[in-house]
This record gives sequence, C-alpha cells and structure tokens, in this order.
Amino acid sequence: MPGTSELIRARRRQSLRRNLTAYAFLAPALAMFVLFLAWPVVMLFIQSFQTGGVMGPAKFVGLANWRQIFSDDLVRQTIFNTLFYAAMAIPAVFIIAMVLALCLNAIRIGHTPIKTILYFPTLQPILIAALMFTFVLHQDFGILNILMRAITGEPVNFLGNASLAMPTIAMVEVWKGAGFWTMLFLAGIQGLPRDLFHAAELDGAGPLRRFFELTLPLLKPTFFFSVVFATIVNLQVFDSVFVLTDGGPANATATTAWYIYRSLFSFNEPGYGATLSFILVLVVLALTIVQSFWFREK
Amino acid sequence: MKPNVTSISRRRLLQTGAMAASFAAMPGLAMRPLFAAEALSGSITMIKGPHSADEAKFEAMIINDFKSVAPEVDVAFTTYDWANMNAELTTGFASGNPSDVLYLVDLIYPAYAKQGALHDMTALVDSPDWAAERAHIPEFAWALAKQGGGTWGVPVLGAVYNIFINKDLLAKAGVLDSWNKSYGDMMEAAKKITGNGTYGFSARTRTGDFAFWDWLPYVHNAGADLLNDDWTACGLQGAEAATQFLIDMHQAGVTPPVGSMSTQEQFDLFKAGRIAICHGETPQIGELVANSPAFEWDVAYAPPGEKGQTVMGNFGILSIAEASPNKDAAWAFIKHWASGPQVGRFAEQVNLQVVRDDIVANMFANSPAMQKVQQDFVPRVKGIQPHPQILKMLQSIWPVAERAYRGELSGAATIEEMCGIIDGILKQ
Amino acid sequence: MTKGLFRRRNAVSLQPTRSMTTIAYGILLIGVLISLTPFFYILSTSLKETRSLFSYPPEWIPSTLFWGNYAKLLQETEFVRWTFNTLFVGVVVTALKLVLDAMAAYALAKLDFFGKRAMTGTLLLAVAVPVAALIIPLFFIVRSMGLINTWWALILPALANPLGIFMLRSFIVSLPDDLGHSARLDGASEWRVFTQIILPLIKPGLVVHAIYTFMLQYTSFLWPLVAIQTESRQVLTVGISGLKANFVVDWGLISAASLLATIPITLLFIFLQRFFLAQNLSGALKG
Repeated sequence: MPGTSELIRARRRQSLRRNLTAYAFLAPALAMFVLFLAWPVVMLFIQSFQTGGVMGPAKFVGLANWRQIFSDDLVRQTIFNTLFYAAMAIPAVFIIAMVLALCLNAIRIGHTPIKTILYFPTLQPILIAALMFTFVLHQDFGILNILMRAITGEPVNFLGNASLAMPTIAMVEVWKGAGFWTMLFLAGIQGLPRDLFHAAELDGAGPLRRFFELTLPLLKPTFFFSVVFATIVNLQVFDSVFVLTDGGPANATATTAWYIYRSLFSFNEPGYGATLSFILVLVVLALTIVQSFWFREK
Repeated sequence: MKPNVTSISRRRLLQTGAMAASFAAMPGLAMRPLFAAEALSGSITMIKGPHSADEAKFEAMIINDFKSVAPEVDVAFTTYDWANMNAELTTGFASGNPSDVLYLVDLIYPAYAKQGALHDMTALVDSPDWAAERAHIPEFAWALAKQGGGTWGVPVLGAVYNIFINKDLLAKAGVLDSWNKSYGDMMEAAKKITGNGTYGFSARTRTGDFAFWDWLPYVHNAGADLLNDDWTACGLQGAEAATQFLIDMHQAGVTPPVGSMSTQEQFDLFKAGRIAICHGETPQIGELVANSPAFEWDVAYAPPGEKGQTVMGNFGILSIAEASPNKDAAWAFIKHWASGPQVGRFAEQVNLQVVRDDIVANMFANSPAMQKVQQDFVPRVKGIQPHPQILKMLQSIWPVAERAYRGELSGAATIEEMCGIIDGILKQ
Repeated sequence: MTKGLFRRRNAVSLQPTRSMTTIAYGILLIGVLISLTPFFYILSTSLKETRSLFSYPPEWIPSTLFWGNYAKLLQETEFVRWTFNTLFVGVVVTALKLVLDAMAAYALAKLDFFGKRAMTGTLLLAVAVPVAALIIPLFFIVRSMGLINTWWALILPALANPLGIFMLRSFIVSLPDDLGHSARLDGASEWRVFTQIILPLIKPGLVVHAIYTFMLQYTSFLWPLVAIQTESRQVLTVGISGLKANFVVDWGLISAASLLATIPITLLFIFLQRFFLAQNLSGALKG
C-alpha cells in the first residue's frame, strides 16, 4: 500500500524535523554543559585513579585513592560535619524565611524597602560577610557578645569552642541566605489561589489554622524545589568555613568541600581531591533521591 | 626571534662572567660587572604575596632601579593572595605560563622544587661572577634552598616570629627581669598579671593563623623537631614537656579563651595594654612604632628550654619557573632584587629581616626593636625542615594541639598522636 | 482604579487585623536590624584611620570622619577597574545564560524529542556536582582552549550549570500547551512561538534567573582567582582579598572596598525589584 508507506515516510520526516528543532534549541546550552561540566566530571573520575597530574605527569595508582578514603577518619568526620551543618542551617533558614515571608505578605506599606534590606546580606560575597562577623562575634564588643554578656554575664567563644563553631558557621550562612529564601517563599505564598483563603476565612478559620491547613500544604511544590535546591547548595558549604575557621578548631568545621580544597591546593593531592569530590556527589545524590521519595509519599 | 635573543644574551653573560673574574681582585669594581645586563631584553613577570598594603609601590621602586641595570627588560609585578597562594601558584604552573620570578616561602618551596616546577639554579648561584654575593648569604639559608641535590632559589627575606612584651605590666608585677628566665617564671609572671580583663600571655591558636609557628620554638628549645635527622620518622619525641607547658598556659586561665581571637585580635589587645606577653611577628613592629601605645614595649623570645633558646622564622626564596622563556632576564632581576641596597630597602619598608649578613649593621637605624631582631634574634632562628610535605604535616597535626590546648590531651598523648599522623604521611 | 486595586488586595491578603499587622512590622523590624547591623561595623571601620581591626576603647561613631580609605581605594588600587570587570563579566554571563537556558528550558518543557527523559535526568544529576571540585579539570580544559587569563575563562564555564534550565523549565511547564498550537497552525515556526509567545509570558522567571545568575557571578571567588592572573583583569572579590597583606592588614581600606562593592549590585537589585513581583513567580515553584 503506497499510501501507508507515504504516510510513514511523512511521519518520519515530521519526527526527524521535530527532533532537529528540539535539538537546535538545546544545542547551545548542551555544548556548554558537555564542555565545562560533563567533561570535567569525566576527567575527575579518571583523576580519582591517579596521583599527580597537575604540574607533573599523572600516574595511575589503581584503587589506592578510593582505599585511602575508607581508612581516612577525616573523611568520615567531614561527611558528619557537613550533614550536621545542613541539618542546622536548612531548617533554620526555612523557618526564618517563612516567618519573614508571611510578615511581608501581611503588610502593605514599606514592602519594597524592607524586601531590599532583607535581601542585602544575600548579595554579599562571603569574604565581606566574614569580615563583618569578625566584628559581630568579637568577645569584647561584638554585638552578639554584648547581648550574651547582658543575658548570661559571660561572653561566648563562638568560633573557638569546638561544639559552637559549626553552629556559628550555620548562623552566618543563615544570615546570608534568609533573604533569598524569603523572596522565594513570598513568591510562593502570593501565588496561591486567593479564593480558597477567602472561603476559609468566611468559614471562620483563624490565621494559624489557615496557615497549617491551607498555606503549608499548598506550598508543597515550593518546598520540594527548595529542599532539594538547599540540600545541594548547603552540602557544598566551603567559603564561610574557609575564611572563618579554616576547618578548626580540632576539625570541628572541616566540611567535605573544604577537605577537597585542602587536598587539591595544600596537600598537592589532586587525585585524592577528585576521589573526595565523587564521595560528595554520591552523598548529595543519595539525599536528593531520599527527599524526592519522601515528598512523593506525603 | 626568541632563540636568537637568548643566545646573544648567553654569550654576553659569559663575557661579563669573564670580566667579573678578572675584576674580582679590584675592590669597588667587583660589583659592577655583576649587574651589567644591558644586553638583556624582553619582558618578565614576578609574583609575590604582599607584605604591605603598599607592596606594589615598593616593588615599583625595585623595578624602576632595575631599569638602570637592564634598560631593555620590562618587569611586571603581580601578587598572590596569601590565603590561597597554593591555588594560585599551582594553577599558574599548570597553565604552562607561570610568572618568571616567584617569591616562595619555605613552607611550600620544597614541594614545587620536588615537582619540577622550578628551574635548577645550582649553576647560576655557584657561578664565580656571583661568588661574592653568594658568600653574604649564610650557609644555613642555602641549606634550606637545597632540595634533592639542586638549588632552586635564592633565600632573600626572613620573617621572625617574636614575642611582644608590655614592660609596664611586667614591671608592675615585679617580673620584668625574671619573666623569661624559665618556663616556670613565664607561667608565674602570666598568673600575676592576669585579671580585670588583662591577660598574662597569648599565643596563636587558630588553624587559619598557622598557629604552629608559636608552638615550634618551644619544640625546638626541647631539642625536638617535626622529623628526625634523616627525615625518615617523626622527631617530636622530647617535646612532651614543652607541649605540656603550653597546654598548662592555656588551661591556667592566663590567656584569652582558646581560639577566641585571631592573631590580629590578640595584637590589638596587646596594643590596648591588656596582654603582657604576646606572641606576634616583626612586621607588627612597624605598627607599634607608627602608633606608639601608652606603655613601654619591647621584643623578646621564649625562655630557654632543655636544649636551647631558639626563635622561629620563615624564609622567603626567589625562584625561576622552569617554564620561563626568559631565564636570563629572570636571573638578572633576582640578582638585582637580592642585592644589598634593594633587599635592604624593601626589608626596612615592610619590617622584615634580610638573610644576607653584610648589610645588617646599617639597617633599621630608626628602629631599635628591629635592630635587636635583626642582630640578636636572626642568629637564633631555627626554621622548618624543608620536607616536600611539611605543610601537610603541620596542618594535619595541628588539630591535635587544638584539642590539647582545650584540655583534652596531655603533652605526652599529644606528641604520640602527632607522631602517628606524621609517620602515616611519611609512609604514603 | 485605585479603589479596585485596593479591594482586590484586601480580599487576598487574609484581611490582616491590626494586631497582626503590628506583629508583622515588629518581626520585620527585627529582621531589618539583623540584616543591617553587621554593615554598621564596616561602615564605621571604613571611616577611621587605623590599621587595627579593633581599637580600645572602641570608637564606633568616629569623632572625625576620615575619607582617606576611600581616596586611597579609588586612587591607588585598581578598584574601579575591578568593578568594571565584574559588572562586564556579570552582564555578559547573565545575558548569554538567559538565552541559552531559556531555549533549553523550552525544549525540555514543551518539545518532544528522542532521549528527553534521559537528558532531563542527566542534567538534574549534574546540578549536584560540587563546584570547588571542578576547578582543576576545568582549568585544564580552559587552558587547552588557550583562554586562561581572558574574559572567556570567566564567561564560558559559568554557562554550564543546568540549574537555571530547571528554574525556567518549571515556569514554562506551567503554561497551557495550547498557547502555541494556534500559532503553529498559522504556520509560525517554533522559534517564533518561543520568542513571541513563551518568552513574554515568563518574564518574571527570566528576571529571577537574571538576578540569581548575576549574584552567583558577583560573589564568585575561587574560579576567577585561578583563571585570571593579571591584576587589571581581575574581579572585585579577588581584588579585595588581594588588599589583605600578610601580617599587617589595612582594615579601613578593606572595609571601604567591601562597602563600595555592595553598591552596584544593590542598585541592580532595586532596579529589578519591581519585576520581582511575586504572583507570577509562583510558576517557578510548581513544575
């Protein structure tokens, strides 16, 4: 039947054209992705079986780097520290940002200036944020220690106390990040269907009930995006650790990304750094997958 | 074009070398041919970490003077960021186009030498036309520059880690003359002074401040060092008591809370008259001279230990990148930079020490403290052992000391754990 | 008009009671104070002539204002140059990334093609790669292209991260499918559908994307540090960090630099703020 084959051919042509169009749209971004992300990752993978390779020639060492990872106590500690940090920073910044977003949603005058000021810390390079917190945390006249002395009579050794150092790093990151998440949550809240709230209000639901029974459930997609995004970003925490504590005291703030940097540029061990990078990617991936299942079930 | 230029300049260099040899006997003339580099041309770059906010200005003076030595050579100066020096230098080498002249501290120099990133300068520094200059740099400094049978740079500057003392506080406690007789005396002095927001003693404690600099003199005073003599194993045995002493100091409440202050913040507190015995570094002397505090101060070093009384110091070394296409010009510039007038002026500007011993007597005429450091402290300097992995060792063992300073480990347990780490690194 | 708007807002904003509004302003005031207080310290330091971080007793409100730090910054350092470089690279990256990501996002959201699921998955995985880890391999790639120490070294690698694609994709996904159908029946090309129908509708998304991309670029430190070796081509973050000499740091100068550095990006944020209106942005978060 010539008609059918004609049809098939036409369909094929059509599908070919469809594919070509789609790939034309994708091509520029894909080219950049392959060249500057996928290819470096492949190189990284090869590097994890090598030693040297940055200044001198690389040498294959088989699984030596991978074996070393499993006997290196510091690797375990950095993974623990990183997760500990994320477990503090993400819930804290989410709760604060949600409260600020709800407040912004409830006011009418002064929206723009308040939003701009709240976003200010987010715009600061960490170097500058770290300098500011050197003042804020100072034991004699940092504002936080002035407050602590007023409340408890004792200054707090924020960065020097091994059990407080990581919470302090988290505090700086929360200060920096709150503005960004506030904007995101505010956007989510203002995008919710208004009629529902109106109806609930007419039914006599109070503001708390409206928040827990309407706002929160409706914001689930926002939360999913935010939790995944925040996990990915926060598990890579490096800058603030590097400038504020350099991993100390006693490795209390040594994060995996910090250890990667140190392996690469202090210890001259690019192969080990590459292997560590893969460990970090695996941890992030595992968490992302767990999160997506968790959100799907709920 | 390029090979032509170098071959000409090589020939020219040989000629000047021969001239130098024949002039060497005539005093006064011996210096001249050394720097007769008129035939050199091209452009080179130098990279260095800044020792002052005005570093670029000071380097411009040196480069400007170089114009009269080698008018055809252009020198561009760039800086690296100290906190990220390895990242910048490593990628610079890896780019295949690193700076021609590099200022490297002894902490990282051995690693670059070992990896073949630096030019072997043995023949250059041993050449007879530079012999007079070479002789002004003491042997212990040259020993530091030797790595795997070669010499990869010229030691030029030293940075001494000293102690600042507040003489008023010490005098008021009646310990001005006795505080540094022994570790026990230092402890007693610190205890007497501490109180009312004033501390008797402070030393660096933070990782980011390279806190090991203030621990090492006590280790050296006990006759120990990171590695044993042939670098085959940990050499810290013997430093248990000295480490225990520093633990006791930090546990006795005579210091700011452990880890609460950076070295900069400690020095600010010293300037405010609230620390009596404060570990610091000599570039801070400039600050005390410029804004003199409301008390009498002086520089000092740690009390004697069982095996001596040393001072910690770092060295800065000028090297040529192996990848440099213009090594002749780079060498000419290093000779210029390392020459007495140039390095002497720079050291005075940034309050560092010079390695060469011929200009010391004339330096720091206006700064008695710096004179004291240069003449009394520098001869006592015991630097680090330039093992290629020295930085990794120091950074890996420091967290143990941090726990110890916080009272979690004894001196003996600290040394044992540190040795485990060092031996582990040596085995890899 | 005003009245109508007012009524609509009233209806939608949960009709806040007076006490609730007061509480909201109270909390926001605390938020504003916490956001701003740290800036006060560097403002104060930048207006003092001192090389120490702390002076005792502290003089937080200087009795005489010292402008020398700002003068020195503008005259003796390459601060203006760094600012220009940062803005230039930031704008180019943002513009290019916007185009690339929007095109890719459109394909992923609305077009059918072979391997779509696999590609979406791969791109999603790639978001999880830590940036610090890529420095060395990236350096070798950029070097082999001969781009080290050029603008391209800063621009091209910044275009690789697919996060922006997903951000924009979620905006486009939420648009109804039949938007493009009638145009296509009229013979419009896919490109025309994209530029004339889709892009105008996701403007808020594009603005969010632009702000986020620019901010990432503006605060980046490690990559410019290693990729750019000439001081006059350097960006602000690295330039400021380079003002920190060893041992003795000019904190007044660094504070002045830190404060001035925040001005351009704040202006940009205020300028884009009116696009940052939220109800349209919610599309980004559903997907």
